[in-house]
Amino acid sequence: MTDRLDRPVERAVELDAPPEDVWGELADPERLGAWLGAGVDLEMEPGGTGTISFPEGETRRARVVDVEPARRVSFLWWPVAPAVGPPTHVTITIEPTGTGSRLRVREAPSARARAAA
Amino acid sequence: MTRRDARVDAVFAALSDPTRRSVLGNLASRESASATELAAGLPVSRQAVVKHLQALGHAGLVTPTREGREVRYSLTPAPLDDAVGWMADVGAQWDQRLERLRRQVGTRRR
Repeated sequence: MTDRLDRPVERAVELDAPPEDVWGELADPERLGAWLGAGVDLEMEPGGTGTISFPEGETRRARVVDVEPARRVSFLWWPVAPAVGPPTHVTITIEPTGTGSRLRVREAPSARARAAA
Repeated sequence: MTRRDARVDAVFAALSDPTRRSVLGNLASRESASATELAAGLPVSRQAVVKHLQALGHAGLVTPTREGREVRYSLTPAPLDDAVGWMADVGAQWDQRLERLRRQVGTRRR
């Protein structure tokens, strides 16, 4: 019963572009915002902080943990409005495939991210 | 939403420890158990089990009941539903975002 909860949320998508091109969709705040469905004001560098504003009204603060261009980014984000909530840890990885890239996302409550570290 | 977030965070923190997961798994298979009974099936002391039960109690996952001189613990699984709900919501959000990303990359390539 608890087995399912021992893992973070994980999703993946196959993309028709090499990792270097896919990276632009993460590193450029405007392009990142377009697919996140939010206004993004975030510096994609270790320690970078910023704000992500969703059109439904939720605002989250984010802090970049680490960055490996064209390969990996991880950040913490947490809601600050309309109410403050606990942070979760998001890790996005990009790997090359025969036809383009595979992008994976993991999101976990940061208590577990700390436990796994 | 945020109150649920805080509860979910407490549940995941409680579940981050393998001994606590064993304790929960053990409680799931019976009505209730004492710390002594639970410790008998685990490679840790009764004292350690009591601490883990307190952490699980803090997350609302177990409820202690005093029976004479003994405290018995039983599973209260409702907070697990919150955690499963959180995972479903967050997963659905990423499904949408990654589908938008896939289309966005496709458009840029054309």
